Amino acid sequence: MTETIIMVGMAEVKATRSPSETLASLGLGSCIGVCAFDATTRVAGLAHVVLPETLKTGTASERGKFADTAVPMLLEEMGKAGANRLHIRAAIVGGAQIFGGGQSGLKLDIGARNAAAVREGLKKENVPLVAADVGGNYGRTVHLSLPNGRVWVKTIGHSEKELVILGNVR
Amino acid sequence: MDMQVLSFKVNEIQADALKEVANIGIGNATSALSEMLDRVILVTVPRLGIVPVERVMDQVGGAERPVAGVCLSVEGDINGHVAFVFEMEQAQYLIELLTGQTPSAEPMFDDLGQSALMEVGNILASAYINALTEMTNLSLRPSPPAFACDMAGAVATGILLEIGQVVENALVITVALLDENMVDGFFFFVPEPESLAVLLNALGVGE
Repeated sequence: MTETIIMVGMAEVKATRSPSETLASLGLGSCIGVCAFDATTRVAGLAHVVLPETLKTGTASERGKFADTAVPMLLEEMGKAGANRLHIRAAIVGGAQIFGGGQSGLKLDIGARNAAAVREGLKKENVPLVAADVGGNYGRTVHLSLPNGRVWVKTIGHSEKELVILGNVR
Repeated sequence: MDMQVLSFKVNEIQADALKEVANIGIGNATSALSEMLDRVILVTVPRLGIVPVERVMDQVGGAERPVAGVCLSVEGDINGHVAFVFEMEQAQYLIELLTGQTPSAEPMFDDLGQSALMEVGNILASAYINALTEMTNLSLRPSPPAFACDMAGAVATGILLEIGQVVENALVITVALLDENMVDGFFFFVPEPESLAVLLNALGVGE
């Protein structure tokens, strides 16, 4: 069976139950890849969150961009694909500060705020967060593979690792 | 504040004015770099694009592609960021030109290489900021440069999002610096939305 990679770009939310598909977000910096998986129905979902909170000027079409709206949207999309939300487990990846430190004047740590907002969003929806690879000052690529909800994290010059197999977590 | 400015929309006349600033600024920057490297550096006519934040990494060759970026913040009458992003091979070539040494292998350059690239970024950004200052009489102060060498997506969002939550589009100016080899660089100018209005007014093309 050939693996098909489905790209989840900035502000996008995608869900799938096709066993040959892998969801991927590339080059996450301060953004967060929210990986979610229901082992009972084998539905996977990935949200590529950009900012912590919805802007006043934000439109409905931008729900995937902000942590507070992207998490509910992720669960909805997974529900449409057949997931039972009581069994959904989540892992988060990203939330770095790429130009961190120094006197650059780039003081706003969006990455940390994104991570906090996503954690809060998952908590509000009662979705257990079972693994996290967040923070630091380097970018990450995340792959969420079916059929078992394997979360794989790649970096440049740092580790490349399996973060968790969401399907093995009860 | 005008909502249009929030979403960083500019009309054709305003785009032309911004291009003109970019032309002069990048021209200044190239002369400074030529002097520093003691060789003729030419520059192609900048191409200007206003790109949604979500699409910026496509401009630099894909979200996962390794790039080197130098970013400065600007404060004063206008607040925002100025950044240069180079592909790895081109960053290596610039380091070689500057230091006379072949830089350490990927993924990260050594301290000497990083300093060299930061210096290039510093010179290019300062020249651009000087051009802005001269054309507008606005007062602008650049910060010391910050350096990152990482996936393009991570570097681009680092430049665009750190400034705040209101930026939805970025002004991306693509230039090629030329000596006998070609060095492509991506130049980002990301004014805060209210600063863009100040800049356009100062250029005489305000609303």
